[in-house]
Amino acid sequence: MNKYFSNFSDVTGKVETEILSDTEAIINGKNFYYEFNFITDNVLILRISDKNYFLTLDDNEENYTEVNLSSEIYNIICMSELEVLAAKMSNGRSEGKTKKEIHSPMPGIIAKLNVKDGQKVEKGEVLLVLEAMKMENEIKAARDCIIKKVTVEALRSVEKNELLIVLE
Amino acid sequence: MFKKILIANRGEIAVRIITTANQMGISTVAVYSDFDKYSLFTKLADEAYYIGESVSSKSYLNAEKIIEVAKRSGAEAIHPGYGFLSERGFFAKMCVENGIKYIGPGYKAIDLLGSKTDAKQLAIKSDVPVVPGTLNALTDISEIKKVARQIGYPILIKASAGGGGKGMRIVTQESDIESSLRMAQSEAGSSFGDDSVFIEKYIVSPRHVEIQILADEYGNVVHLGERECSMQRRHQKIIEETPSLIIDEKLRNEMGECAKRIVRSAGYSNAGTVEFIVDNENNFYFLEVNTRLQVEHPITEMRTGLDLVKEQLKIASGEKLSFKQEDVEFNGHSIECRICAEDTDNNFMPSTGKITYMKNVLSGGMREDTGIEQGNEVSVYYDPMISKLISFGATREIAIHKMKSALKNYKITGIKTNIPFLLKLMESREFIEASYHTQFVEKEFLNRITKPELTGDDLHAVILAAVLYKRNKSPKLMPMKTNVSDVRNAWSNKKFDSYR
Repeated sequence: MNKYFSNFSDVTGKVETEILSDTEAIINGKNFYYEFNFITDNVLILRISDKNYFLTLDDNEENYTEVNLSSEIYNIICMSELEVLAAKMSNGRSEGKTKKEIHSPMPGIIAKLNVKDGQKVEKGEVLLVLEAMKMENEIKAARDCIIKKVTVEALRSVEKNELLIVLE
Repeated sequence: MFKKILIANRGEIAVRIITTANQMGISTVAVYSDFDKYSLFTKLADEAYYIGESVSSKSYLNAEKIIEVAKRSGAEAIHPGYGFLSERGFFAKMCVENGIKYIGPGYKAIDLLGSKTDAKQLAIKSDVPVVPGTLNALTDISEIKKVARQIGYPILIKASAGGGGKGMRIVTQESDIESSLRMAQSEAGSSFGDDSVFIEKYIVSPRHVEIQILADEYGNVVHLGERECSMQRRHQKIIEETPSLIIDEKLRNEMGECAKRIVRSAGYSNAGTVEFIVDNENNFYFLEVNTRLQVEHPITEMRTGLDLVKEQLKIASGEKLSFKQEDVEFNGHSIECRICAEDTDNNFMPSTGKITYMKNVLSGGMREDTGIEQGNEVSVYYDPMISKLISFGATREIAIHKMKSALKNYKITGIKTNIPFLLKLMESREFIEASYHTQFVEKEFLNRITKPELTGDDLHAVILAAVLYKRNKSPKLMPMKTNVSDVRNAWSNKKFDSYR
């Protein structure tokens, strides 16, 4: 299970990589010698074909690996053989319905809270104002509805994706 | 000269001020919020005092508490830095009333220039050109609409107590005016406590050029040339440079003299910046005076060889300016890039988290002003700017080259930064030709950003890196069993701490 399939977020076409050992790999059908070291979990020194690379890596929410090479970020989906198989088997489930929860789109501070539990609101009404690093962002009602529960208080800081308001 | 000063600020500017104070043998007092308990500036200062919760209204905006700490610590003067209490006349006044020297202009000059309408009137009186618009702050919506129609759209709504891009909205048609007004007022109101706005003609594709001035308390004023700050997004500066390629010697002197006239009329002392907008025919109009040290002051320091914080301290302690206008020498070219914790691929959302790794190796002619270290958290409480990279070269080309190299080699993990964005900006034709204006980023550049295609070894390296990263996260696979006898050396696959 040392085969991997990589896809760029903005480019089609899979690249196949097979790890033969920790010094040898086959990329796109071609054999390479390499050396590497993880300075931290996210910082990698890699030598391939005698060229030096000093890279940083991170995960993002959509399962991409972000590879930062000379301050240019490349998003790559990298799947092992096993994962490709598993993905094929569990294809097609889950669909969207009316959103009943409002989550914070970014980390921030609740600068203003305009609604309370049980309140009726109209589409477009500003429910709360989220302030993040000097910028204010209005969170509006996407439809006419009743506020079931407000789960945050004014002036509190919230994390990204934190539940803010539950709608009826 | 003072023996001890308090710095009523945080982050890189607190570090910047402490550094100069140290060189001058002045002891320093830091104040900190919960969040900043162990931040770099608190460690560098001789003393550090807790002043409240992380939310700035409970700490760095708490004037009473800061004054109390100044008295308790025996600080003779307070440096406000930029942001927070730096342009609040009442704070400068409180300092005076408590026998503490405020390192900046007097409170009357701050209030006068802090009100955009008063400042505009002062400019007109001082024979400095201004943009057409209202002279009085307005609150009534029907009057605002009437005036907007007279001036003609597009117009700019500005909260009279806003600043730094806060409380400003461009309105292109009358139907948008109410929502824009509400946002402008709300933004300014929440942070500055004043609801009135004024409106003016919006100049399309303008350049933002500002003049640095120094004024002592005896009426001597010099200007230190211009800074080109047109590379902006949402009114926030991103890259600044000096000199500006559109400003020639004659225009520089003209703008410099205008800047000097307006600060003289305001009875201004200490460092300040007079902002102008310049249209495509090189007509310039007075915008506002920033009654404090600017974020981008280092590029002026690089080009003039002066230490502006040192000059501020000398002026505040009652010294006369030690040089005249004709003594100011300009050399080379300097550029500043503001490194911000934001996700530029995702609508510039703030990026928060712990900085797990941070390394940059700066070459000669490069300077970094920062208040963060590896291991620090970046929070939502404060400004997203985490560092300023400043380059200097004999020519603009050299300064650009140095900056690009520094950006490429800047490694930081745990948070997202705008470094890739800055690099692309520096590689844009408009930057290289210096033909950019304040609308360039939002109207043109953002729509055409593309990722360069990977080829050859780079492609293989990036692919392999992603694979190794994935394997490194699964302990079963890493370190992997070697099935070849010919392991070239023992270098691979060690986690060596010596690199950290």
